Amino acid sequence: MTFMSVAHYLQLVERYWRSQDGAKIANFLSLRHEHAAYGNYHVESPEGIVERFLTAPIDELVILHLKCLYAISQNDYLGAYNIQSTLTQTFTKILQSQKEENWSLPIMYVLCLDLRLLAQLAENQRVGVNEKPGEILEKAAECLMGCFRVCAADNRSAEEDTKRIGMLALVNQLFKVYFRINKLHLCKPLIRAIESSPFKESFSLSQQITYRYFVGRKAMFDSDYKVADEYLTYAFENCHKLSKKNKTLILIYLVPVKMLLGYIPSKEVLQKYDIVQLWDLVQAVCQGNLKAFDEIMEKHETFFIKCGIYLIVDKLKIIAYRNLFKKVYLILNTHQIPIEALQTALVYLGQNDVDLDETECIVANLIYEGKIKGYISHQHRKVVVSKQNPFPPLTSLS
Amino acid sequence: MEEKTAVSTAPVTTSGAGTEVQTTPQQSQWPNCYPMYNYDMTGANYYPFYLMNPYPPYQTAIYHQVQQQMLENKSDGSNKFVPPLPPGPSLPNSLNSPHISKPPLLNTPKQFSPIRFNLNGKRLPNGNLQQNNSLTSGAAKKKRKRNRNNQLNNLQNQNQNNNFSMPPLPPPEQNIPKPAPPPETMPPSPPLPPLPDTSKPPPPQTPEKPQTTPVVSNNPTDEWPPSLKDYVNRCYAKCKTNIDKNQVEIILKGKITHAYQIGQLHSKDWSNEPLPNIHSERPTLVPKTVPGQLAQFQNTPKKGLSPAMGARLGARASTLRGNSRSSSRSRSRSPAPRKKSRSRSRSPRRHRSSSSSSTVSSDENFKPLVKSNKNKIKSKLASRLGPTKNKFTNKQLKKQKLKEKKAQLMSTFGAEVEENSELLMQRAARFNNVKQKETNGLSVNNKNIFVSDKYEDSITDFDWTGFHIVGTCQDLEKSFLRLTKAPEACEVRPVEVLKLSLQNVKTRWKQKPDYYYTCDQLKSIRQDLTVQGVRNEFTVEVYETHARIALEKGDHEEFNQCQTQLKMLYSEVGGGNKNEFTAYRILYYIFTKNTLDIMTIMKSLSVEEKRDPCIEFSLRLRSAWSLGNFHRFFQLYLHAPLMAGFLVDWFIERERKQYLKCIIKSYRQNISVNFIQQELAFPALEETLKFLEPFTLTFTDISKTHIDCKSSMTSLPN
Repeated sequence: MTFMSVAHYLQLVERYWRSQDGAKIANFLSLRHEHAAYGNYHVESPEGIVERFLTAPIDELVILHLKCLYAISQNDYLGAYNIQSTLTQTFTKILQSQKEENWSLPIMYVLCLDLRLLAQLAENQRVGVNEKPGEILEKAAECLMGCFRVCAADNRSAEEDTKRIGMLALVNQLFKVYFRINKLHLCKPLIRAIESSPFKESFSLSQQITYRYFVGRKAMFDSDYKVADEYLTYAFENCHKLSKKNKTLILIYLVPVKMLLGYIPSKEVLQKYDIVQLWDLVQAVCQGNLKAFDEIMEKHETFFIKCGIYLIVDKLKIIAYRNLFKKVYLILNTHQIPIEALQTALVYLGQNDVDLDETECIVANLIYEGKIKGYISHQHRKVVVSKQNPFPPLTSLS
Repeated sequence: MEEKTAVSTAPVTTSGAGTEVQTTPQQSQWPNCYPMYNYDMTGANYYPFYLMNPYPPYQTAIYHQVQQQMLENKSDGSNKFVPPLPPGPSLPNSLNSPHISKPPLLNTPKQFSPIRFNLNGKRLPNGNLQQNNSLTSGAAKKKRKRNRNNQLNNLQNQNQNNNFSMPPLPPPEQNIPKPAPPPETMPPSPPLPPLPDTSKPPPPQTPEKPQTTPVVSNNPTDEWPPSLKDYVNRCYAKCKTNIDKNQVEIILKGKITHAYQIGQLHSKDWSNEPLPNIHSERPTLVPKTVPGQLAQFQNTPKKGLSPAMGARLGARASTLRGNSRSSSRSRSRSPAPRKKSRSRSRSPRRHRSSSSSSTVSSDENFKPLVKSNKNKIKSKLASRLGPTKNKFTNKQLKKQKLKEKKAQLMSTFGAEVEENSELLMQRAARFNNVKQKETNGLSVNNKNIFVSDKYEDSITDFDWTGFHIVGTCQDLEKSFLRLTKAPEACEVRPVEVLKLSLQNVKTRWKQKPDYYYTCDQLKSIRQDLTVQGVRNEFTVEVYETHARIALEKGDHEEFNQCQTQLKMLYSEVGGGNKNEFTAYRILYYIFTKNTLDIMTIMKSLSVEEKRDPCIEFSLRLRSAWSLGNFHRFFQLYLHAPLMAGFLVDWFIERERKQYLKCIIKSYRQNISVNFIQQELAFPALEETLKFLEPFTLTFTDISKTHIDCKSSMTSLPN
């Protein structure tokens, strides 16, 4: 879009509003659209000019939008957020009053997205110690929920006009907020709403990918690795190949989950998506190299914690134990492995404070989880492993 | 484990089992306080009213009724005739909310029931009737509740009815006219204030009202004789305002129902029927307020009154006195010697109703009207009273229970008993005072004046943080009671006193660790601090103290509350024990298996903090826990720093079971109990055996020194 005067802009808005062109209006109400950058749109009190061109209800939206642009130009994100919040609420009412039509959904998408982004900015901007972190985002979430309810409640319209098709976009916005403020439990009802929706398959692919990415992550936090694997795999496979950043994000979670389930990613993939940190990890785990594993954990701790995968990556150590013990077994080539041998291996790899009992315990846990077939004879301090397939492939488990 | 209880010198040796046992009684104890919440909330909602009330209570009460009535009408939306707002001072909008939400629904039903009474002048044996009676008699409270529900249903039906602009005929079968509810107000009733106006408007009302009740599902207009239709039209033609319409509707309903019931619907000469007297035609009168009225009204039995009358009356009443406002509290609290008034009142009413029932001459109507009007007001009052009051009584009950409980509690620490019971008495006295004052018609406003202005803007959302008072109470000990209204300075202890109180609690705890007492005291200290907005090192100390004691006693809820507060307090005012409590928080999240929050904590930890022995311990424990390295987990447990051991105790049982499963599944042939004892970190053999007992394991010998793992497999859960 080339530069245009506010008056022209208003005329266009008016025309598109009359022709119910949701997508065009959405552009004109977006904070990320080109027009937002032009100084002449940053009007402190746009009521006068807007009223000259527009009538209710669109006038209020545009007024608020222009005010919001002004607030942003003043770097007042909190103020901008508040205006955008009012704008969204106003729009929610309009949306609700539009029965049997859903052409304005694109506007909703844009408003809600902007709202969330502004909430994030406002969250970062404010300095007050007293305010609880996440408060603004929570309020934004409430606002989004308002929209969501309107959409979810629209069950009378025909399929092509239903606002329910807009639910998933909102759910995704809400996910983003909830993940940011660590309120994952709030996702549950949303997931249920989507899973039970008759439009489950007709949502746009991009929205579905986002949705599965978040649901997969949630399943991962809930230690439901199978589901996590399923959802994240879908997201990864369907994500557009040019969205490299998104694919990277998905992989960060998918790789640990897959590894826990016994699948090892190829180096190429990790290199392609620029997460070499994980490749070191993969190697350490495969070799059962606990020393390297510990080092990597320490080295990349911040990264892992930041991504929220620290705890799950931490669990890969169990697999590293298993691989190490398998090596010991192969070296000794006997079905009766002395605990001592295992302990020696552990100590050799930097687990200095491990005694025999703890070694036994580690083995016991592996046996308990089915990663080793066999039993421990405490009296003889030996692990007796099955003659057949003592270390079953991890992929075959559960 | 070492205990670093600032407070506890006498370390409680906590074996997992030991703590469990202790926990249970106390947990079961707490829930009993919770019933109070409901009441509290109402209290909070109502509270603003009293404060804002510049008007004499009597007026207020009525005004509220009216207001409420209107709200009800509006809210159900089906009622076309909405009584107009009273001309008087408009109430702040915010007032509406509490009303809408609660009393109306419940009340409404009652409003209709009384109507039925008058219908025939005689009592019909009827289920409803009986219910009403029981209500009025004030006997079975439970019944009342049910009843109200029923009435509620009725009400809904009723509302549907109201949709018809024409008064529907009551199908006789349906709603059995009820015997007139005793005009409770009547007998003892002091001068009736609203009389002047009442006389005018609804002469015919009394008789008719009963008819409103009938729930008519089909519109009977079709069967009407033309003369009747004409009459009805004329009546409505007379109406100028909504009030008129409302009134006329009532009157018509009454007349028609009556005619129908005595079989004169078609035979009656409707064209000669006098048109009802309507509101617009009569000069507005302002009732004088008579002191004592309020009390009288309040005394009216809450339930038996005819809600319908009240409801209907509402409109008129509102016009009468525009400027009234009420303290709803006074209404709700009135102790009501209602049995008496009721029984007395009953007879006169019946009397009246019978007299008026036959014909509707305006003259005759007049008299009953007066009464009825009054009744209505009362009834309305009463009906409004209903739910609230009920709540109140509930509350009272609960309170009493609580008191009893507390008393029991108190008795456990002997010496305290006296003091505390005294305190309790004071408390009780305070409440009584309030009640009395209100019932006397004196508003309690002045009591709380200091809050009121600050209050006005935050009526809807009652927020303690909005204003802070400085306490003047000098009591060293104070029992915790959940606040139901803004605290008064004389009930709140200033910080200096609180410091002594804390000291006192600590000393007592050392002498005699009685958790109930201590927790109670600490909670009240916390409350006083909160109310006064004190957030400093002392606050931290109080919360730390309580957290530690709760930790030791395994009170998860209190601990969680404290640690949440502490988290915020540390970020606001800092504190030397921050790391210690961060460590506890990590452990607490392990206890709740909240890995996500563990992540959040880990995100926020600095390198130095990670080196803190306590935090380091927690992190290592977490690692061992998540890797299933039970051996290390229990080794760590045995060397828990500070009070961490107590926290681990909360979930040690869970982990022991897990490890036991693991051992039994992976060891063969058998495993010695000694080994188990050592691995599961049991201090003695007996405890090990005690722990193993419920699993019905197979032992290799009678002395139970070894477990046969293979055959024990089956007895393990899953």
